[in-house]
Amino acid sequence: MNHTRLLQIINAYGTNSDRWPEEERLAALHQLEQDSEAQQAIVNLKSFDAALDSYVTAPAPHLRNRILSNLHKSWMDSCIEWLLPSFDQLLAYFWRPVLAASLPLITGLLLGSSLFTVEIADTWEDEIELIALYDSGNLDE
Amino acid sequence: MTEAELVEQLSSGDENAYRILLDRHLAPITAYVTRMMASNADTEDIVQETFLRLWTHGTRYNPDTAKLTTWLHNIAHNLCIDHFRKHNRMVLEETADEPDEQEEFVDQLTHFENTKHVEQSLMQLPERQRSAIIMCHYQGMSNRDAAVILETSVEALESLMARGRRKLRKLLEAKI
Repeated sequence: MNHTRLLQIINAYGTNSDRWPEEERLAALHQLEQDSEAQQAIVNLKSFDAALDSYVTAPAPHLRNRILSNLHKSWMDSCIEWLLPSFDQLLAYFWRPVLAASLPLITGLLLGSSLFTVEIADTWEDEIELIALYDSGNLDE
Repeated sequence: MTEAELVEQLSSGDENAYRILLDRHLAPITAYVTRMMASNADTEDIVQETFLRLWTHGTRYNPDTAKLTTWLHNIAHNLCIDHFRKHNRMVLEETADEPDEQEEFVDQLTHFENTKHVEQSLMQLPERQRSAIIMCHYQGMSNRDAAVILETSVEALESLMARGRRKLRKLLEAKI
């Protein structure tokens, strides 16, 4: 351990020696006792570290039950959840039902267009048949 | 029962083992994701997905290569990065190191209590610097474990942290 390495540790890990690399901690603390520049660096950074430590996250107590209740979801549950998402997913809340509601319409259009194609073929054949009948009628005359 | 044994029990669908592991790791993983995402609305989804993967992919965990907390942090970290990429935000690339200014940190910071400023400033850091600081400063993770998750060396991790802390300090100074 030397002066440079101690400053590297302070700059990277901060002023709290509990956060310093375990294998170097004792040597670093020993170096700190006789290193006035490093001591000054710690004084300068103390308030910054205190500011960082003030950032505490709030617990999410409901999350545990949410995770456990989602362990055994069937594919049907997943589908329903996808179609009806929670309110915080505002965009999904609107577009998923719209998408789901439009599925029968899309299916209907596809079916309708395919049936329409068949109908045209029939009509065309019918038309040929009618023309043939008309022509044979003319010949009879 | 060790964590490795508890994870092994998951393969046979042992929910009690899962509950024990969930109770041990939920708080730190939630804290990690919350800080990475700055309390984004998707935070809970990412935490849930992390623990769902413990349930469905627990057999992939190898206790010889990493502690369970490191494995879970790794999953949570990757899910956060995926989220940032999908939403095309906050994956700031590393930039050249800024000049090292050794100005005194203002005394006002001693009384600095607004955690929102810290949260906002953390989010302005490049992703890898932010991850390194959150893992080592807040999560109490060892430098080796954090380096494994960030797929880098311990030396590079220390450099990320030093640069991140320096930038964070400047950002906080500017806010007060």
